[in-house]
Amino acid sequence: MHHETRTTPQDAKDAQLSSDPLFGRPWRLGGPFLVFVIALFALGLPGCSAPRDRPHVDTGPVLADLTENVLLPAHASLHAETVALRDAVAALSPSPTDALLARAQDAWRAAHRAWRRSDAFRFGPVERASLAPSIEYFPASGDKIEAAIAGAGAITEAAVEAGGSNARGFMALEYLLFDEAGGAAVLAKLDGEAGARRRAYTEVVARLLAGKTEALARAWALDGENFGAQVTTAGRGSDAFSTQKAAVDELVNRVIFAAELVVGTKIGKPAGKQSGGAPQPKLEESPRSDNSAADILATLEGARAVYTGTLDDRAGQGIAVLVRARNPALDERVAAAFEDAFAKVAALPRPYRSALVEQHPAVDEAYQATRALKNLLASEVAGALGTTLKFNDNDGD
Amino acid sequence: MGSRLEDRRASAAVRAWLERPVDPASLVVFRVLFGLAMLVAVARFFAHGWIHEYYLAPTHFFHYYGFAWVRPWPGSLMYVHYALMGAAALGITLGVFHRASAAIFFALFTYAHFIDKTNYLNHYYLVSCLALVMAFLPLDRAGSVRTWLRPSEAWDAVPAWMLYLVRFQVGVVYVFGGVAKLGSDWLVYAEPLSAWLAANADFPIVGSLFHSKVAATVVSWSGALFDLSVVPLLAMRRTRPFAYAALVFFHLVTARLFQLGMFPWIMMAAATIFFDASWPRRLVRGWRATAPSPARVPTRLSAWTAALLCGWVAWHVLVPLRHRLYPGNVLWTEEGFRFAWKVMLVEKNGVVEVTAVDPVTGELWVVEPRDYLTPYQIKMMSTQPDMILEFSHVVAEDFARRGRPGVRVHVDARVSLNGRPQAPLIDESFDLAREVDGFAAKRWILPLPEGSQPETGSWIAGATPSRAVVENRR
Repeated sequence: MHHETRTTPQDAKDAQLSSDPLFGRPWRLGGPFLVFVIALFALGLPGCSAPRDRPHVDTGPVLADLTENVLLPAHASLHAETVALRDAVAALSPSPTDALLARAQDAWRAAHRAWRRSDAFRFGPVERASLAPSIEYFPASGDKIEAAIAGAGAITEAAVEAGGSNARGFMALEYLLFDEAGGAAVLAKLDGEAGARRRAYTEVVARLLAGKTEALARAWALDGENFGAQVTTAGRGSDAFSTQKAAVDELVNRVIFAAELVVGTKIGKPAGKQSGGAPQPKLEESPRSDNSAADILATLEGARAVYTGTLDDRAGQGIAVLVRARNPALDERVAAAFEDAFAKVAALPRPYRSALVEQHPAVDEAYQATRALKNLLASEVAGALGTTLKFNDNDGD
Repeated sequence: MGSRLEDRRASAAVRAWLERPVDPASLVVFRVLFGLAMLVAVARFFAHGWIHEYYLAPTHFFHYYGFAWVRPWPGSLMYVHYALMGAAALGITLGVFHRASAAIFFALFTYAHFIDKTNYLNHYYLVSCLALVMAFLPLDRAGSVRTWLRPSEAWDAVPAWMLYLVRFQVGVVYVFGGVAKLGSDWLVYAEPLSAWLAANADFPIVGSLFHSKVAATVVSWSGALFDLSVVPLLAMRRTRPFAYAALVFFHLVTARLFQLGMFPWIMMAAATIFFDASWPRRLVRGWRATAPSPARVPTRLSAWTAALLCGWVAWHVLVPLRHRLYPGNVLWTEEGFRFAWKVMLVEKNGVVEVTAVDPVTGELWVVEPRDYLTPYQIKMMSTQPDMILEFSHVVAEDFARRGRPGVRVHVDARVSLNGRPQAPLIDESFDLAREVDGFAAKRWILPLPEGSQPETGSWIAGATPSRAVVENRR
């Protein structure tokens, strides 16, 4: 092999080594090019306020509004409704009657609606210390509840707490307050001396539930731990959200999770979409209370509240404002998809389990409508907002 | 005859240009910075728990075509794999058994990242390419433990082609990154930058401009011009300081705005290779070039080396353009998307519904991807046709294992690209369980709908979202 070598004086070598033909010589293109780039900026930046530009929308007010009008009131409402449920169960306990049972059942439906509405913002304090499964765990274990009632041990908050998530919370209360055979069957079990331990168990479960939601509401409340401030100060000192985008990402992802929950867990699975087409009515969420369709609507209400910024009588800015600023047509499609999903779910025949077993066309229509909503949120809305999708790795509960 | 003589003269001139000795100092610094960056990259895999997340947690891995045999090692051996990778990176940094270290690093790094294409990143590909190039270059002949221990083995110069090869390797990232931006999504609609910037409007100082489509358009054009021009601007001595300052600014801003991992830092380090070959000597007083000893600096470019270099260059010029062989928009079909420096070009989100059908009984199952894949794998699979195909095969095999052989697998994939309305990506009528992977165009990928454009407005085209419908208080 030929080895080419050179021996030159030091300085000459330095100069020679460093001046390679392509990369060492100045080209003549540089000046004009830089002028072009600078001109582009000069022409472009003043145009940032040009009439043809899209509207300027701040994310900060959206996060503040959502916290003030949706997140805080929703958690406060959940607590208030579970307190009402606790009181209704306490009123039922001494001498159960049809009217008192109906009041307790109504209170359960109202409280459960408040809980399902929060599906769409299931982040923050609720993720701490297994708070969510303490509030609701699906399905409740009837056997475990009956064993605790039939046992000889004292029915205390500590004992019920130790009994496990599937023997307390909303689903346990549904098991205790409802029966597919009707209210008389419930009252028969609650009545008299024989029903004393069942009444005590029901009361303790309702008290525990109110306690859990109080902890949750306090964690969010301005005069409590004020987690709401973590959202409103996103990108400005928030520990939970280092940027506003992180907070918006969280909200958008939770709304998508809620839509997924409806499509997959609340409609798809019971309808047999994952079991060869054979309906699985046992997977219905609230069969004893026949509240499943209302539960689905409540989950959708929560999702729409985050999107629109409006919950009950409180109205403000939601994710829709950000979407509208970037793509008004998309916002219209989302509004229409929400409407369609609500309409199709509301049209589900009752009882839901019968509609499932009969493979009623309304079930598939509700499935397709909610799936269209989920697809729209996860593809176009996420794209418009530059959301980093997280994708759910569980069934949502 | 005359023309042959001219050809020979030109050939000799090129050869002389490639063989001329140059100072190895900038290559030494490049070697050290690359090694350090790789050490950090390996440390990040340990620190963030990515070894578990990428190799131990998933039950299925998406393979590159022809590389299904590349799988994670059993047990905790992937931790050993990464530890060895770190040791090899240290070897590169220090210049200890440099070529062996670079070769081992290349093998370990490339193997790790070939396990699952879910985790494909352009800069991983760049790292593999650079490591392979370095395995062939004697970059430990200066500024290394080797020459510190055995000064007689030090070289004072290397043939210029070695420097040019590394410059080429770094340069293709910018050049093809710029070429890839020459499309209407980027230049006319300023997507996906427009969406990404607007999402980061709390960025210090200039964040309030990020809502603006005009600003996004200016940034998009600037980004494309930057990518296309930064290599020649770095090459020119007069513009070099400005170009490098712009490069650092660009990468720092993108590092702050977007989740780009090590990429900006690798590129800031790698771009130093465009500096004058002796630039480090000006920083380190006393590190001056010494006169090369005779017969110690091989600069002759053998025919084999020249052929390999030509092949390597051709590969890197042609592979990024291979998408031209496929029909449709590469951002949509992703046929020819990887290994092509298509950086920051897509905001693509989608949802797949995979349905398995028993052809005998007609029973039908909507498959839950999360029963098979990690959330990140689902996210990546949902918009990439070849991953959807592989997932369909996984589903069919799983059903066969569970006593239902021969299921048909149909996919409804709804995907939105760069602000377009969602559209079906896969032809649902195809049974993907029976479709095979390969380099041929995939007939079951549906094209983007005719005339489909981003809906998010264009400053250049004069299409703007309506102003009237938006109010934003405070």
